[in-house]
Amino acid sequence: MIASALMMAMTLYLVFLWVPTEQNLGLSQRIFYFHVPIAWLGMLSIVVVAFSSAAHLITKKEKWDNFAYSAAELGLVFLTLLLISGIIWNKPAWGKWWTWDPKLTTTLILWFIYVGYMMLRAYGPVGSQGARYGAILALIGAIDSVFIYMATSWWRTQHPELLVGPLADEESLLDSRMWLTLGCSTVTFTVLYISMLIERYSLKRGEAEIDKLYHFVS
Amino acid sequence: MRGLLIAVTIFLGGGVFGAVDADSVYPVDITPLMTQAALAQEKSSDPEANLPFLFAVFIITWAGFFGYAFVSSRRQRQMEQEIRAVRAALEEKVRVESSPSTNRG
Repeated sequence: MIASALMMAMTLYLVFLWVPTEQNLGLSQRIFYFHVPIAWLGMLSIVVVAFSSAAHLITKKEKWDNFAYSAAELGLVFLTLLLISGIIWNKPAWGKWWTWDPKLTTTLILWFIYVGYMMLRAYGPVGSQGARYGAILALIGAIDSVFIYMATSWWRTQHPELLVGPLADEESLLDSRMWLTLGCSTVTFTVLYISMLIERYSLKRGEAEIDKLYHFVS
Repeated sequence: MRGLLIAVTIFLGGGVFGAVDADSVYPVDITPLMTQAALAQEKSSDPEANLPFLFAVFIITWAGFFGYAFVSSRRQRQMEQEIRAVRAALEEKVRVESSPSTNRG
């Protein structure tokens, strides 16, 4: 946590004081350095949920189910912030708050999948049956992540094409300073995500232990 | 949690400072990020015109993380209270089960 706080301070300096301002979008372009790392983590999280759920179904060990739940909760937080930052950035870039662009629509679908997962775990069947249903939902979400990532390549969209990351299909027009700032911001948010996941997992494990103790006492 | 709160404080303070410093403007073109219509509009406008949007995203992002950290730490306190209650209930149960019976015939 302390490491992520220090990295945040450095990222802050790079984003607000060091990186040059883009001449067309102006200062609003700096939202890019929050938006992209949060997007990457929101999509990564559902993949983590899918793998953890599968591990729970195979090994029957409760720790994997706790890990999946923790990752889902964090993924929901990150994806909510992604949608909000995207909506706010839409206005100066495209002139409207929301469009039914394929990339935006598939991201919204993933958000509903996260919400559905949390509701299923809260109100659905307990035990292995609930975990099984959650695993199916997580698998659908993981498939949706692929659609989100490839949306700009597969369909005609207003959203910028892949400039960074795997399968980026054109030579990047990003300035080297922007590359460095984006990289630093991505690493920082990833470290923050990992530390939050560890905290949430230990909290979830504690809650599960208390539930067992209650059954023992009553 | 403490580290996250430190990060939030640093980010909030630095972000406010950094956002108002608009002196470092070096023209760099990222054309794919713009539609043609918005490009024509933005070329004639002040680079600082979109500052409120940047500020809004910044504030909402960190309010989101801070809010989540706050909810998590409250959950942790509740869990500690429950642990105390369960421990007390267990001790009572052990005490009752181990005490000798008082009804002897």
